[in-house]
Amino acid sequence: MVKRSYNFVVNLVLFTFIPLIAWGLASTPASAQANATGEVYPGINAPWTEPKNVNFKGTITIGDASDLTGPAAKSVSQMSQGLADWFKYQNEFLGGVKGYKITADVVDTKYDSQNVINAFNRFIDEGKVLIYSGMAYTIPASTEIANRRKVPTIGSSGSVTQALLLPEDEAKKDNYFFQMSPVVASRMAILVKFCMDDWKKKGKKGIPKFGTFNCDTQNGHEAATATRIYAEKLGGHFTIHTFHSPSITDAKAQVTALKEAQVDYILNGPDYDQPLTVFALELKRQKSARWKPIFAGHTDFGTAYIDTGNNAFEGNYCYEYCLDWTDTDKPIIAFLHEINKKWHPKISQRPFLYQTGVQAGIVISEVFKRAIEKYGDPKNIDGVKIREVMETLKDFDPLGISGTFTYIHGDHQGTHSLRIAECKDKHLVPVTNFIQAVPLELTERDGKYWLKD
Amino acid sequence: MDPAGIYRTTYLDDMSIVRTKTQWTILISALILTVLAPFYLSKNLIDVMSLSCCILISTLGIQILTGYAGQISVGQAAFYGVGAYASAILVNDLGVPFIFSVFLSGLIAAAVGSAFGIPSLRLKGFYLVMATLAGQIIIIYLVSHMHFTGGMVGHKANYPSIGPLTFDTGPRLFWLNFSFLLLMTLMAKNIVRGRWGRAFIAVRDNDLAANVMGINVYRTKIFAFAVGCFFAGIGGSLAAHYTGMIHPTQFTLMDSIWYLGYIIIGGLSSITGCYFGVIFFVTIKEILTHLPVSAEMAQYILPITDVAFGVVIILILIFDPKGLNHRWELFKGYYRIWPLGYK
Repeated sequence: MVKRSYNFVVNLVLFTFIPLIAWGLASTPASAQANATGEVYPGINAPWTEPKNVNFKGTITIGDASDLTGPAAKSVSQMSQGLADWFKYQNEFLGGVKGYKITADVVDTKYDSQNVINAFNRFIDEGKVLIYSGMAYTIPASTEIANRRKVPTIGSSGSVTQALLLPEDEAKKDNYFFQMSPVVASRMAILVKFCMDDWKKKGKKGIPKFGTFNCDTQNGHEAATATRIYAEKLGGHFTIHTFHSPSITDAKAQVTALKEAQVDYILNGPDYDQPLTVFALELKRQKSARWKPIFAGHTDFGTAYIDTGNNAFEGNYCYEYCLDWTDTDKPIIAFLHEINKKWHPKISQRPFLYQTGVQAGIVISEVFKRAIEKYGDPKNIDGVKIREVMETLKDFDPLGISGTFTYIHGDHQGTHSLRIAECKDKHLVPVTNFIQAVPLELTERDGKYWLKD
Repeated sequence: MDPAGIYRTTYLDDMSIVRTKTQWTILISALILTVLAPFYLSKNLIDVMSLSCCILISTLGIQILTGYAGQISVGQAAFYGVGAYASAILVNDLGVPFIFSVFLSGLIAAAVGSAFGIPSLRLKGFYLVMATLAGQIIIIYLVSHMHFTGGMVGHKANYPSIGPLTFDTGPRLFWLNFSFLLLMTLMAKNIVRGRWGRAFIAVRDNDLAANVMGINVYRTKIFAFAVGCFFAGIGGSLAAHYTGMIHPTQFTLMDSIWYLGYIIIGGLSSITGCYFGVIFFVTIKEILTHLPVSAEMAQYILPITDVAFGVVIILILIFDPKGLNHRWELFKGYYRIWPLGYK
């Protein structure tokens, strides 16, 4: 009897409590995980407190070179705003970073390459050891300046060339460019897979035809090539690429070409809300009973949908590598709603890139925290040390706002996952969880591999 | 205009660039101050000045082409890009020493520019603008899609080196770029005050009359394009090695339009005007871009700077349509007779 009871208790523990505890740990919200590390974030994983009145030991100022004006400004400027809001929170409620106030010196690069070059040089000349770059397209020159002058840059690019080192270069080179999202090729792999699954789910016969609509930039061409490669790899049929300039007034030629090719899925990589809006309207105009393609593309497609509320976007998809403004059930997004009510009462809606600015703020604060723990006074910290510290981030959880961050010497992608959302009823409705990107093969780490089309 | 009491008795004297002892004193002092600038100016200012030297060299080119020869071009940024790509490829891929690559890049840009200048033989004014616009679009499209230019990835350009000396710091790059600026300014000054310069002006003012006077109008126009683009190529070459990485997005149509802005604001048909135009634009741009505003306010305040920039340009055009150089000439005329001026 005793033995039976003993077995019952053991079995109960083995098969019930242990799995339950394991499940509980695995599914613990990010906020609680952060709590478990001892960090208290008022408004996120703890009740709101009054702002702290801290005598800061000093100030850490990073550079922020962002396109606050120009064709990409509408969404890109939000990155700067998100970063500024997180730093304000960090200073007022968390006492800064290890007692140091953290702030950003903002330069409006105005979608102008000379401004970018001057801004980067200026930041480095002034002794800044980290630069945040919310720039739309002028990144290659600035990345080179960062590499030459050994000052890390954290930005939202997506280019394989910038984020990954070739295997043969890993031992010889350091990369000072850090990304915050999967490379474009990985994003397109996830999109193509999603479309293939969608095709099967809808019970359609035959092979789905893929076409692309991309901006005529490095990222756009990477997206186009990746779409072709993955469509062919996963059993789809690739048909046609179309490209456009950063701001357009009509997308008739592109949509007509896609229509003539009778594509079923139109895929799109990094792009801007203005051309995507023009495209969505033209796509709606040319859709017919015989041609109803599905568009799946950059997050700015969703931003444009929320902004315009136009039903031309309905039923199409966009990818997101961060949580969205509507994810209010997640503590970090509920928190962002709160701080916006406090600090920006007139703003009721934030585009996606605002969250990526906050995401960058969380990561940058963590990097400086670790750097100060290791090297002490920020005056002793230079760009090389910051890069080394950034490469210690392994599965760092940015309070659940996105997937975890990992930077290793040859791979500076940061997060490696994204999810897909549908434009539906004036909302972006997630239709997948965050999907982990498949790591690229060694031969695929060469940027030129993704620029064949 | 010379100060009162200065007389020229020989032709050579009359042709001299620096004409009085005061001018020599000012010039030498300014040169010494500029060369020593890295020792007393901030690193950032030196970097801005370095890049401005490259832009200025290219502006000298468009001044010759548009200001003196009257051939309006909206393709200067593309020709600047040709020089940049040529130099990056020559130095990084073909191992040509930098000092040769700079001049070769200038020559390559001149050749390309001459090709796009051919329509000028038949076209004038707005029609020529359209032809050079096509040049801008074609060149940038080609460099964006050709394998050897690096396409969309861009092309690296190593630090420049001459013999054992590598220009790998801000001050060194500044000294290099400034030296080239002086050399190219002298070259520009000599071109415009010589036979070719007079031919350019004649063609600009009335090409029919120029033809009657025996000037080969076609050859003059093509030569103006070649010279203008040679300067752009030299500037582009220096800029490529200064930046370290070149990409098609660095040579936009908007940049080409700014080049016209530099010479219009500075003063058409004036080498000094190029300096005024570029310095004015860069200074205003730097001040407005780097306004000391808090991160929270930046997104509201910084975009307004574009409006301020536009207003400043409009005011200059209203109050001094002949450009800043004209204002400078008026100022010189005033101080030369100060304090005994008369009305």
